[in-house]
Amino acid sequence: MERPSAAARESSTAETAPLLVVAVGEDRWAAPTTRVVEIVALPPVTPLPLAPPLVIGVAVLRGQPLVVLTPRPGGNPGPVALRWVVDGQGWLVAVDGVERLWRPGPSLPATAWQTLAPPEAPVAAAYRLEDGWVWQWPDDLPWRLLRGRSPEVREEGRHDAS
Amino acid sequence: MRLEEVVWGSAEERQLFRDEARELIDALESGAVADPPAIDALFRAAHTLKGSGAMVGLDEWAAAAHRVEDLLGAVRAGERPWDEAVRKAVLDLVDALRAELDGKPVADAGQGAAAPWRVVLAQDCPMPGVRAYQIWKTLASKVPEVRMDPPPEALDTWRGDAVTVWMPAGWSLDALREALQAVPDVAQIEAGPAPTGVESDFKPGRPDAGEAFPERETIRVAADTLERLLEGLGEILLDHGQVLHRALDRLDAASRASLEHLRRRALDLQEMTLKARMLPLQTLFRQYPRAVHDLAAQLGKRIRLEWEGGETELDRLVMDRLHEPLLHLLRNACDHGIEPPEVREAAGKPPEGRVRLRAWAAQGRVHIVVEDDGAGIDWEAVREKATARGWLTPQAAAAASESDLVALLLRPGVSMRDTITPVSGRGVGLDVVQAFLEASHGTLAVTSRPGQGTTFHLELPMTLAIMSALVVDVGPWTCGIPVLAVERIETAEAAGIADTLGRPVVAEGDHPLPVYALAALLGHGTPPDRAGFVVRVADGPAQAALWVDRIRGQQEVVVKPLPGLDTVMPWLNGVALLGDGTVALMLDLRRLVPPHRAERRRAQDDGVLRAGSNQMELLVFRLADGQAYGINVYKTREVQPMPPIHPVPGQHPWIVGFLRLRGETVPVVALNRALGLPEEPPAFLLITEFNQTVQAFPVQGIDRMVRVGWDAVEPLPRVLDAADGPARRFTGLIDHPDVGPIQLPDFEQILAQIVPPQFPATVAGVRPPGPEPVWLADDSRVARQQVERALAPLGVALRTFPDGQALWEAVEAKEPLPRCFVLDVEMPRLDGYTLAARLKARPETAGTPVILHTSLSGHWHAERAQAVAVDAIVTKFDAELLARTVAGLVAPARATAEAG
Repeated sequence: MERPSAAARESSTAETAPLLVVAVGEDRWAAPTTRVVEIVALPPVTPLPLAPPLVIGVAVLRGQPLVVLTPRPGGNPGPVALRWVVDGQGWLVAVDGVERLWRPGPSLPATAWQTLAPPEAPVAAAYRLEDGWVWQWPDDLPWRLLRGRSPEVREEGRHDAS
Repeated sequence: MRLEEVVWGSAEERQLFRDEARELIDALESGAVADPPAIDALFRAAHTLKGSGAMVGLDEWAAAAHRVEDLLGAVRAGERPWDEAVRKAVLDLVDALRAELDGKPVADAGQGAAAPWRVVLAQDCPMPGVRAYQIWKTLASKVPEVRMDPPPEALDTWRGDAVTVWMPAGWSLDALREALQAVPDVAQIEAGPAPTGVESDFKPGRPDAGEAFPERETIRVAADTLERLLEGLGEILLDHGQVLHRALDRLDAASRASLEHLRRRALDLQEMTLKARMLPLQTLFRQYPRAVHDLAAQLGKRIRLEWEGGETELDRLVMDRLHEPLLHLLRNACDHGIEPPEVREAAGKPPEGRVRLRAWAAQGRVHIVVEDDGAGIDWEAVREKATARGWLTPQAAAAASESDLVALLLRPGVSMRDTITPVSGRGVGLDVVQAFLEASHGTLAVTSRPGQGTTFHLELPMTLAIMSALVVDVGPWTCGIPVLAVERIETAEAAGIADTLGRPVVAEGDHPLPVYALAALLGHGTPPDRAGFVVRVADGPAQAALWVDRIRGQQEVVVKPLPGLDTVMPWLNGVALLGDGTVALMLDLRRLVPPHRAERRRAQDDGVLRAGSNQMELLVFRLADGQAYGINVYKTREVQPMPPIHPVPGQHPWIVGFLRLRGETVPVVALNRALGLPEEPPAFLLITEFNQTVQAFPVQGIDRMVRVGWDAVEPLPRVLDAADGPARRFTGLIDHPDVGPIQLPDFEQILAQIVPPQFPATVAGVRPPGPEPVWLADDSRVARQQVERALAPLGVALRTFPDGQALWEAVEAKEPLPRCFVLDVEMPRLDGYTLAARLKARPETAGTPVILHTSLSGHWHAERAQAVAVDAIVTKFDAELLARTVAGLVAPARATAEAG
């Protein structure tokens, strides 16, 4: 029997915690509700110079400046932002819209979708619905977007799915 | 030793240990359950827990952490996979260390469930150490992972009456008795841990006992609480600013007074809160003498740690992060720096090595220095390692400066130890320092002298929370510059911005100070507003004048760090919210402004680059014919793998298009075409800066850098030079012992053929000095003709020389001397710097003006020229500027001569 993929293992937690399905351009993404603590209209953004393309700038939410990230570099950031918290640190992730809360079934093995996944953002798991794919972001999405990986995680430290 | 037996210097020390341990244990736990696991962070946490535990004498704690560190080290090195067994070992360690913090033993750590047994020796046992060793040996032969207190390595001097052994769960008393029956003097075996039996004058209670340190009426407040207090006060100040901003015109005097009172009280409270976050460094420093003592014993060395400046205060948040890197620097000093006693004595040093830890505060920054009187860093070994790891080519390694090599030492996974010891050799260390520096916006300077020792100098901001900032507007941004770094503010007009070698500078004493448009440093292409301001700043090596659009004034701001940006945008300390709601970018000048002093020092220290050394560094590259060609490194900016080039129709045939480079449009010139070589797809793009412009040349290959003397540059044989005619294309050639013949294309002439220089018929506002003698040394016949045309409106009598050596020979031959010398810099046989220095050193010519006429740009170059005290530097090729400069220098010279 095939071992469950890391993504599938990760999705086992998703079976109990619902996901937030959002739209970014043509794609649908799912964000873990364990990390997204708030959905807000994207506040005015102060652009940051010399920033990587995924960093749109800084926005102030109730007196707190937060880095605004986009999973779609180069395009216009959407009007909605997810306040995403990892280890007590917060970011805003700009999206085009929020569709629904969703409790998915088992995800597909990584081998089924790895070559199809959108390249712009990291994918932790994938689900095939009748009307297309839903790509699940990893819990530490802001770190991945900023550094291409989790803080302090070396490539050899990763152990993939299959 | 158990945690409760540790003799602490103070309550703060104990608390610091406990707080740090809890943070690291939490990191271990979250790292182990993450998917993928954070191997590096796990490894570092285990390593630090081991070190911290060993430092205060928690042997079991350290041993447990060491075992897990070993496991993680193997995962890190790819020697074993991350699997459930490893995860379990990490989590077991987490449980065990937490238990120890809560007053329970670390018995099970890192090796699964184990049970302690107390083995009591006979009262008249003559050699308890030997017996204890036999017990361990016997049990270890059956159960390799058995642990014993005291550990076997401590038995030499042990004189106790009982040992504790931890055996895997399932071992019965009978089984243990049977196993030990052959060991003499075993009187009794009983279940359970040994009683502690610690004798100490000072034994603090458990944390929950609440009576350990009754001497001060204090309460402990979590750092987070202070952080929130500061944030809250910051928001009050922000609201104050907004109220004032919106209602300034409508407020009566009483309301204004109340608002001002509110502001002052909030500022006072902010300062008090900030002060509450400050801790004296001795809280950390006190731990280290013991640590160094134990390390020395472990390493078989004699080392004394001296420390001073412990009263220096540092933000608690910075201090929390400082412990680990400081401990690593001390370990480095003990393990890598200080030599064994016999080696020291053989070298004429006292057998006891000395490590000094010093701290002081200055200009809002805290300086911490770790210095040892050991062997110094073996730079050759670092070079070899860099080559072996493939980080540098052998040539680059040979040419790398010490500061370049220090940067390599700060990489993760680098260790100069070939063997792993409990102390070091795991590649954990200086990368920890680097990570700390990035997070805390500190800097590190390393100096090392062979045989004399090494100094690590850390410089940290005293606090990251509040900054007194000069707030300026620049392009679309508002920025905060630390006031402590600001030396002077003046209008751009009053600053007297001059143009030296195509770069704006202002005078700072005898030296040119580079002027940077702050917007340009931030990647914004808009030129600065001429009516703007110039802020002179000095922050370590960052010394410059920053050109900004508007000054808003000085403000106390609460700096909010932005998580995750410290590595991608290291120049950003954080942001601050201003009273009007603006988000201001708080700048880390050391990471934004190109280093100035360091650059100057490098140029001065490096004998090869020193003005007047008659040498240059040459970048050797290959063109389509496979031959070696060279360019002075100081004409190059960077080399890139061939990027996409955008063609531009209707240009000169040598122009292949342009490249967009960080907001700049750079023309690309086909060197193969200019030199009449076949067209081949290029592999690299050589981006150059000279003649005050930036241009790129595609090349087929980049070979290496070589250092050569100008005396090794042979002028082109006359027949080849003549064949080129007016379109001369080469400066000369070098027959290099390793590379073979290297031809030096005349890049300025190639450029001049694409964009011919302009020659004004007259120079407005200049009275021609008439037929005064002027000598020109330039190896380029075309350049000589150009200078001749440029100076024609002056009517001077120009005598030309094909290189520096020819002019010098005329001077030595005591021929009638000119009123002015015009010298090219790059010339075969004798370069312009060296010739200028000789002319200024010779009494007959010392008073004659010397103009350096050069295509080289850059501030360093201006300073080199200053070093040989020339009278003017004119960048090629501006005919009018050259004529004006010559006229200006010849006229006073003539007046002096006539007066004399």
